[in-house]
Amino acid sequence: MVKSVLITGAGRGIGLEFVRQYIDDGWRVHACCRQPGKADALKAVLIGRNGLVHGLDVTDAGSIQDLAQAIEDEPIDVLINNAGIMPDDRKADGSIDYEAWECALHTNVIAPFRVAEGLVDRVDAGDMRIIANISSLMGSIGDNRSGGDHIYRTSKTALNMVTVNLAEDLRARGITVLAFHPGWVRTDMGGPNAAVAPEDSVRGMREQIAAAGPDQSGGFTNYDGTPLAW
Amino acid sequence: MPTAVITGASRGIGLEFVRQYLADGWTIHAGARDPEGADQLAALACEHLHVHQLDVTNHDHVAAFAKSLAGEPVDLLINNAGMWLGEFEAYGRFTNEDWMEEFRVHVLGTMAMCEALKSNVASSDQKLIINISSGNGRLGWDENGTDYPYNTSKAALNMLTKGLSVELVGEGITVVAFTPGFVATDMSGPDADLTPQESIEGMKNVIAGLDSTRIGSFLRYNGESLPW
Repeated sequence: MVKSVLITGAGRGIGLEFVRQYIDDGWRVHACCRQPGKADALKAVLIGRNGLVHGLDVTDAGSIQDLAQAIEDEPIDVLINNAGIMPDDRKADGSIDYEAWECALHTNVIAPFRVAEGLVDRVDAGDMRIIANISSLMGSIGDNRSGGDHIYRTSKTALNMVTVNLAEDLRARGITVLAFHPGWVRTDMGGPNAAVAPEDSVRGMREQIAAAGPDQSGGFTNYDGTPLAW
Repeated sequence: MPTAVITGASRGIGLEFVRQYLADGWTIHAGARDPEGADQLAALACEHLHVHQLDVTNHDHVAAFAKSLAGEPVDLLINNAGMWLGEFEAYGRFTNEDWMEEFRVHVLGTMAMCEALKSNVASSDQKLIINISSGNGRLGWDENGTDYPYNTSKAALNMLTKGLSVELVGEGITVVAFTPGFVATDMSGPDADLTPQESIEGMKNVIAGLDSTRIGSFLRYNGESLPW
């Protein structure tokens, strides 16, 4: 049986690398991004292969509903909530950008929950029953020794709580929910000086996902499986 | 005598903080969303109590509050204003707007107050900022249920507490988060196991003894340190 994965934020960066590796591994891939019309790199990866590009704005309930309908006959073995944003804390005048903060909380916290909620029956229909949330070590309270980046940090801490709570709520259905720090990855978000190649980060997370079961549910680990402090 | 700012002061834990610090002779600036309807707060009226209309999610309110305190040292800022949407029997029974409102009150509102009053706190003797959080915000606790809006916003508040504590230590300001315990208030209902008097007496004792080893920590009302 061919396994299937659904990835949000698949147009670039870590999401796109997940698409590449899963398609190369023979999986059926549902790659979701906000603007399929502009996702040339993604289309180039999927052309002629067992994958589909879906338009999805994770902050839009109707968009999630449309996606759920579009794949209503398909099981999803692994759902990867990867879409995320990292706004600056302050506006040009030095004041806190509260609008950007709400936007980050919506995209990085509420949206992954809504995507999981909207697609949980598809995940339940799969064999592996895994939901992976792409978090960040910057969401680790215990690791915050430098301050700053309050918007991004609080959103990823809150996402970790979503992981913990979803793990609890979905345990009875045999669904495992994981939070990952992908490493500091060389992407548009991580910048050119980041330490980890996207290939290595995603390979590591795929290994963790492949090996995960109920005992791992609700955990927060590095891409290589090392447990991280809350 | 020292000066404290207490948000969410019209009832529950905030009101009890006002009561006890007034009894100690402190000057109190109390924030309440609806001062007209804050009967219990009004009953404490005295020359040391100043009541302000303050919805911490309203930037105009926060700015006006800060303006009225311009130049006045604030020894202790207690970010207590909080909310709870109510019990959810199953996940998902809340709107995105409900969820965002909890973030606004618990996280963004706390940030707004800290930004607005930072210089007042820095110019005081005690230089303390206390954020009233909750055990429900603990990621490593498996008994906090799955109230997503409340749990995520309190976890985020704990992260903000930690981040601000690092940023403000250079100005001599100590920032910590407290869980007040399961206190009998309008918010928690009658099943709670602690009176507001006990919880606030405990927190006041701990606050009075805060030293640099506790900067950025998460404390129970009795001073016990909690993991995140």
